[in-house]
Amino acid sequence: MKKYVSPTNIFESILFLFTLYFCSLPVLSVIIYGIGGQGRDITGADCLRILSLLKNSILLAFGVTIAAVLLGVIATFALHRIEFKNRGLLRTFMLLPLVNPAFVGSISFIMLFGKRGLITHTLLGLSISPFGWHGIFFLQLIGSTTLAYLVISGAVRNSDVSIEDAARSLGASEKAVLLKITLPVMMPEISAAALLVFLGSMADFTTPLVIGGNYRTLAADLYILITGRYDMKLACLSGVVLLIPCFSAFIAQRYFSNKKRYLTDQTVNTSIEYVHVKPWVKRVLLTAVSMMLFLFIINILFVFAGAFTVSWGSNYTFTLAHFKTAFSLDAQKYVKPLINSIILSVVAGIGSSLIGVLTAYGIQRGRFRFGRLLDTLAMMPAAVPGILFGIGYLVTFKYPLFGIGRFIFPELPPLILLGTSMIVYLVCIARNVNLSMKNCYALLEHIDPDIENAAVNLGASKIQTFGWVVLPLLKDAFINSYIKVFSATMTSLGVIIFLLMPKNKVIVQVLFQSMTGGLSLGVPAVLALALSLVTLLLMLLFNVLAYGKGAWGRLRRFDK
Amino acid sequence: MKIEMIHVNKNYKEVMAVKDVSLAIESGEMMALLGPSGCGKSTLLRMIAGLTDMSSGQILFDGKDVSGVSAQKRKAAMVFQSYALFPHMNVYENIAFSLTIKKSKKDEVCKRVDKILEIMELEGLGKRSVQELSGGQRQRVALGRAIIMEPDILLLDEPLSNLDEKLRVLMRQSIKKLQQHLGITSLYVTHDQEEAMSIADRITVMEMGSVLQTGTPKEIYFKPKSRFVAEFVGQANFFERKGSKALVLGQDVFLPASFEDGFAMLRPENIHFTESGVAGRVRLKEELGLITRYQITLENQSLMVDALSNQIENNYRIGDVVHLSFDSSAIIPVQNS
Repeated sequence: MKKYVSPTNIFESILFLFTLYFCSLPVLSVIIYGIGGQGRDITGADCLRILSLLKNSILLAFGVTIAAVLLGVIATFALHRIEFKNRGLLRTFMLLPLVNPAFVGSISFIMLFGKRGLITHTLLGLSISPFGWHGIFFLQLIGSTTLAYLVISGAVRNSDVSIEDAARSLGASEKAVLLKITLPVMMPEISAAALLVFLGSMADFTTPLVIGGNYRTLAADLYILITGRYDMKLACLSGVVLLIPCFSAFIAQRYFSNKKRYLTDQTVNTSIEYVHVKPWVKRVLLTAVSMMLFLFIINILFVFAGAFTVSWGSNYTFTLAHFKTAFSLDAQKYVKPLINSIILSVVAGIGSSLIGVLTAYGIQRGRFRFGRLLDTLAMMPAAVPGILFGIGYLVTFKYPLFGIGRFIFPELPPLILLGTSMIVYLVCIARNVNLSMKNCYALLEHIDPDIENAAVNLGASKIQTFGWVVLPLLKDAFINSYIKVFSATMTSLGVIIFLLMPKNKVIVQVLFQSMTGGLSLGVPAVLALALSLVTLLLMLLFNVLAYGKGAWGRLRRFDK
Repeated sequence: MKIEMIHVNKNYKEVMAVKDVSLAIESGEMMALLGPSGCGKSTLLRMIAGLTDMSSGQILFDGKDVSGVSAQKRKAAMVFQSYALFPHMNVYENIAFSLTIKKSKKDEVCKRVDKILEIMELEGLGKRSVQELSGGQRQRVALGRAIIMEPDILLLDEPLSNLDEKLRVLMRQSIKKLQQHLGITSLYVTHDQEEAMSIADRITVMEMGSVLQTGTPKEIYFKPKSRFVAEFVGQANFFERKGSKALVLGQDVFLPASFEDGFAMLRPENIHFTESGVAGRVRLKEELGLITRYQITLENQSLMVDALSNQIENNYRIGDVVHLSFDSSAIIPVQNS
């Protein structure tokens, strides 16, 4: 038989090179540079310092993870397994924290609990500092709860509750049903949610810098080391230390969830609401979830209020001055970054969704020879804190020819890829490919592989099958991951912070700098408001473009 | 344990899923609930199990009202259509579940599970994950898990619908044997009339939430009260009533006055080919093995006729002209339900 190279093989090779190069090489670079790179010598004091920061990071991350998962489970039960009026609206409110980076919460936090805060100062007459570990914990918790809720509720919706009925008819009490059946079956998703929250908290350097005060985490220190002390060597070593718990958690969860995957072989359509709920249980759940939502709403409302107030704490007069500062005085300063952010997020969204969906499709349908390896390479960035991934790019692509030039042309000048806008786009795409792959895997599980065989059987060529059958089926996965990547890129900073140049500043960065720079709360509030509104409106717009009518309904279920 | 349902209703908002059902199942009896999908038979089963609330009515176990009793305390074990095996437990743990939650002693649990594994022909599979089992094995685990708790009532919700034909026949025989051996009052939901007739002591036929008829398999087949029951259980030819009689193959047949809005019904096996008699033409012929089913068009009607395949004189071809007669004793008056 004659051997030939099919388009699939070529495509697989390109994907392979891309993931190897842009997803996994930077990760390896950090490790190599951190352990063996040139630079100053590392002292024992450095090591002790790193370890104590690591302890801070891990304690905080554990606390946030436990609390967020607990709240996520409570919200899931309250909003999906109990019936009450306006449930859909509350589910939508639950997604509010998604349109803002976690550190924006500090605006309302300071306005309420700060030195001149509404509650602590004006109402209670206290003068306590909001800065410290409790501030970080609280702000990270808000965003993480929504994250955990999304992952856990996604699973509950498709669960088969007849096993609970079976347990009841076998004599199990409601408590036994919950502890022995419902929760154990939810464990894979609970562990996935815990991993996400844990990694997010470990990687977050913005919130600790904005509200942490003297409580410093390893990720925040990393940022200071690079931007303030220019100590790249120590930064990379800290990075390697930061990687250890993150990678361990990632691998442990992957192993755990591979061992415990419960597939229900039939689609279940029965309603998942509990038939009998004790009134006090219902009351407790609804109270808990209302309190969460109240906080989420307060969080946004006070950003609103801050944007229209002259000076919070001393002068509560209504004003539009902050808007003028932000949008009319100097377009270069605030408006251009907003536009940069939108362009970056759109490109990253399209890029990672396209690559991610096609990769996932090829792997899931067994089209690729090295599917498992490809999957591992593409998933690597998911285990790495964003800021480290960015540093990986920094140390890898300092050299020409995408970094390889280091070994071939040592005398050529550096800054070939670094310093261009290209690298910012590439890092955002590579970072999010795993997100859209996961999305696509989940969707493909519900698509009958025989559909393609049916098309071939009806006489369609391979290309026709792909264009007429496969692509339309993948549309949902594409749109869904596009919107996720878009909103993630709009609101996250870690990956790109060290790769941005003055000319391609983004709005999150400006927002972050304005908040650490000690400006009044007014301008940051306006920027935060603009960021969330623009993100929300564009998400809605993309939905309308993709689905026309019913886009709002889809947006509300965008976690599916 | 005797089960009685008195004027039981269930409505989901505007939709009446179960309409005024009154039914009694004797102790130790196996009753089949037969009907098309969506007729409310599974809802009725779930209400007996306590998994779905009634809108109104009463359910009595041995004369005691169980309306306020939770599913946990009813001792009515259910076998689900999807089997509903616990995916995170192995075969042994699934079967042992009802004993484990009662904190029974380990060695007793072990003894009883082993016994069940033996009865269910699952020896050696105890440590197997339920996801690795075949359909028939899953079915047996589900059944074993239900009977180990020695329930007062066994509820089976289309337990065999996910199995292939041959396995279905085997399994229904073993369910029947097991039920007779244990003497548990059982309710068996199915939409398959053959399954219902083979397994049940009595059959209740339901349609659109209401009970149409309850009786032994023989009564249901030979004395259906309504056109729906006659058609759902077996094949049937109907002859319209005109005045006090109906015209069946050229003969007038009198129908009782109580069947005012009714038909004369004749099963296909009760029509025979003869030398003389009403003439018709063969339109369709189906070879079903033991019998051959003909569709024959008469002047103004089309009839189904079953004949034993091994009799040469019954071998006609499509287009042949045939003559038909019938046993007048086999005429059954039915209501137009």
